[in-house]
Amino acid sequence: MTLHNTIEILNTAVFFYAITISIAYVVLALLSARAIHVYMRKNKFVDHNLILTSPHAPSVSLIAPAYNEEKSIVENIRSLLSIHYTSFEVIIVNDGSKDNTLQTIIDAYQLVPVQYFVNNKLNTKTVRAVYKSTNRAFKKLIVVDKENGGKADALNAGINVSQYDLITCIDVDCVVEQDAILKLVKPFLEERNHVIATGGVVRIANSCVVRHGRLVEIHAPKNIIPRYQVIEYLRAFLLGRMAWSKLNGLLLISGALGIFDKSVVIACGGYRTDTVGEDMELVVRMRKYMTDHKLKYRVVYIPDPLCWTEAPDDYKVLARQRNRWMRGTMETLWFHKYLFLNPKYGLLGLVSYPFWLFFEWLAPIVEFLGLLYFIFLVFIGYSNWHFFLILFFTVYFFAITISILALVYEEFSYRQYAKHADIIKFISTLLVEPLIYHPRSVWWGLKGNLDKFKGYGSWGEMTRTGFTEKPSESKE
Amino acid sequence: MSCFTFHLFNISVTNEVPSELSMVDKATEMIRAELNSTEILIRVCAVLLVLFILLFISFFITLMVARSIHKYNDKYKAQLKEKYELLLTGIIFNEEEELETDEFKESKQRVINHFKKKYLKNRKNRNILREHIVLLHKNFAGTSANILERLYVELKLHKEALQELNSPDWGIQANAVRELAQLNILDAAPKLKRRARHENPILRIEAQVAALTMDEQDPFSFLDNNRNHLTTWHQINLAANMNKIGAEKLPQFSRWFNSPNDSIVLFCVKMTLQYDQFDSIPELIKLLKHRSDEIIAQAAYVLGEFSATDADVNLLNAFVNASVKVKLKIIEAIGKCGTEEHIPFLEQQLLQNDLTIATKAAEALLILGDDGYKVLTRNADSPLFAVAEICKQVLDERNN
Repeated sequence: MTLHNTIEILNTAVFFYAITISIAYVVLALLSARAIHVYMRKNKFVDHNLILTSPHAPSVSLIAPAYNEEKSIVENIRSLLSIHYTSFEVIIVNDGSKDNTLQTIIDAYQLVPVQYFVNNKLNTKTVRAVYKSTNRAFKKLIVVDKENGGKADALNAGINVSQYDLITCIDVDCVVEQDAILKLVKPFLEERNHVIATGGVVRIANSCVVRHGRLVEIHAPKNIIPRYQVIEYLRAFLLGRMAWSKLNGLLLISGALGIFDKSVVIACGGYRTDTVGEDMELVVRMRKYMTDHKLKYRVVYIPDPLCWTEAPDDYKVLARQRNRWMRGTMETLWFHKYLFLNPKYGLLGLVSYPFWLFFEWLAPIVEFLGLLYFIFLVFIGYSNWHFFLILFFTVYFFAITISILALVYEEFSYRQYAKHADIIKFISTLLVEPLIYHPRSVWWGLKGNLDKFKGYGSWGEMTRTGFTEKPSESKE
Repeated sequence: MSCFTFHLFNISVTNEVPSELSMVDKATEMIRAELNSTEILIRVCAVLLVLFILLFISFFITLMVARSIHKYNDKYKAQLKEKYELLLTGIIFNEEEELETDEFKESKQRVINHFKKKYLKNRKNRNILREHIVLLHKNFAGTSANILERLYVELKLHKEALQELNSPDWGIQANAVRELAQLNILDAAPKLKRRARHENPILRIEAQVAALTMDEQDPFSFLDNNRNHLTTWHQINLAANMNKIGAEKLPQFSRWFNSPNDSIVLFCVKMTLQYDQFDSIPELIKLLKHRSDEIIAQAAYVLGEFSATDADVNLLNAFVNASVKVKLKIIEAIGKCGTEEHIPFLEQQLLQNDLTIATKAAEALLILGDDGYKVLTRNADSPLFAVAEICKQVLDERNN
């Protein structure tokens, strides 16, 4: 095979890859638009307070692992305890924190150790004690103290302690909307097919005003790094996941907030502790379990913004997060490689899995290799700069069109950012995002791949500045 | 973005060149072929580029215009609502206090005419008023609610809602059904009832809720021969709205215990508990032999809540071949309606392998009083670790 032939084959392959991924994004965006429209229309007739007052609503166990959270844990628990729901318990799992997290909770909520039989349906590191409050005002609170085993292990311990049939796994440092559980539970009540999990939109809370664990003012982040992530999250959640939910092909419920059918979680073995992508891995395994047992099911995603999280505001921390996400994706894809193009698993095997494999895992690799290849072609004098420029601008405008479409969806759905200035900020951000932010995220994805192959298995430290009473100052 | 970026860098397209040509000819031919093939791609890209630029600009304009329209609408709506609020509260409270004097009627009519002329000629304004009257009506009862109903008819707003019932759009119909039911437009009741079996579940719920409040004869007739599945959400909506109707209108829900539609049976079992229909206990006991586990579990739960001591034998019979879910409900029921006679049964469950069942049995023993308590205390020292721990957990008051 000549060099020319090789180049031609490579170019054609990549061209089709590019066309396929672009068409996929456009199709997903259109499906999402339809799904959001239908959801919003139906929602006009929904009074979620009926769930709040109904004795027929299911009870829910909220499980939040905590590791070295002494600074914010008291406020975070207060926020969880004040969630609007009729029957629930809050289980905080202290995962062997090295700081004073446990003692801080004990002091703040007047906890004492109780006799508690932990039915170890899922294997976990040793549970040292279970605490409850002597103050009846906090009777919904259960605190589990266990040896450190990671987030997945802590969630499994929480599941073992939980009493109710539905479990909500929650990141303790997120600000959860008070009606989040009401909204997340509803699909379990209204779908005829067995709903095994639901998730909602996670939004970025940087520069927003949080008071007493509640979000009271929403602003665009002042720092451009979280602002890039707002655009990214809007694209992923509003343009992507709604469509996957509509197709019943959703593979990921965000670890920040999701509700699961406990019986299915336990039946398929709970969270895996040997992966950093435990949230995605669990959903894939639950789907596999349901298909293997020939049970009809749905994984539902709702577009309501239910959970606000503090996004990394420096590139170092963000790089660690993205590196971890990539490794998590790779691990899940590897654990479930038998799904690839397996017709037994229907849409899961034929569409969802290949999509993640080719367009989530492979994309940064393809992109990076493309850069090297281009340099090579320039070096041997095979570049057509005319074509380069026109393709460059086509790609650029495609990327910013998709991003602005996400903003349009936001405007026609939840309109969380009230100020014109916020929208202008987002538009200016999305104009530079493909040039400044995207290359970095490609690099982080690639680095995640390299780290995975080197056997690096750590979560990486996630430092947060914490929510403040006032919007935080920009670090730009 | 990612893959495009790759292609972006791979822009050298080459074609095969006949081998008999000289090196120079080959190179020339190759460059020409390359130019020809990239020419097409360049044209395609140019078209796409123009398309994306136009799309971007149109999305940008859409975004900014939509934002301005939304802001304007919100402001306009808020201002209008403020005016409506003044009108409506003025009429409600004056009418309540001053009775129907001629002087007041006249002044009221003047206000209404003023509003008709100034605000209600425009459809948008009328819709905002309709929305506002519905909202206010939800928060008022008695005379105030009646005044709003009369005003709604006097302003002929009900005619618009009635017209909307003919819309092919389920959303518009559902909204009209909700509005007419809320404002108690009894003439519309037959039209609303006809939609109680509509194929759209949301419209169906609205129509059934309307039937509950407006149908004087048989508000629950939609449950008869109903083949549509009542989801839990649907049941919650019906149950919530039943509270609005008088107890005398409530039927004996056991009437539907033999329905072939399991979701209706389940709903009726729940309603039997909600409205304390104790005389349905014999029918509930029969349901312990139902084909659906969910119904057996619910019937057992209700029997427990009713403290139906006569049901114990049937509950124990149903226990034998039941699923875990049903067993848990039966044990819970035995705890509530059982006596010391059932302690051996519960102790037996406490000692078996399924720890979920054992925990439920321990909780049931605790409810049974002193004798149950003694069994738990004894088993708290059991050599079986799990049993001992379960008993200790249940005996620890802080857990209850």
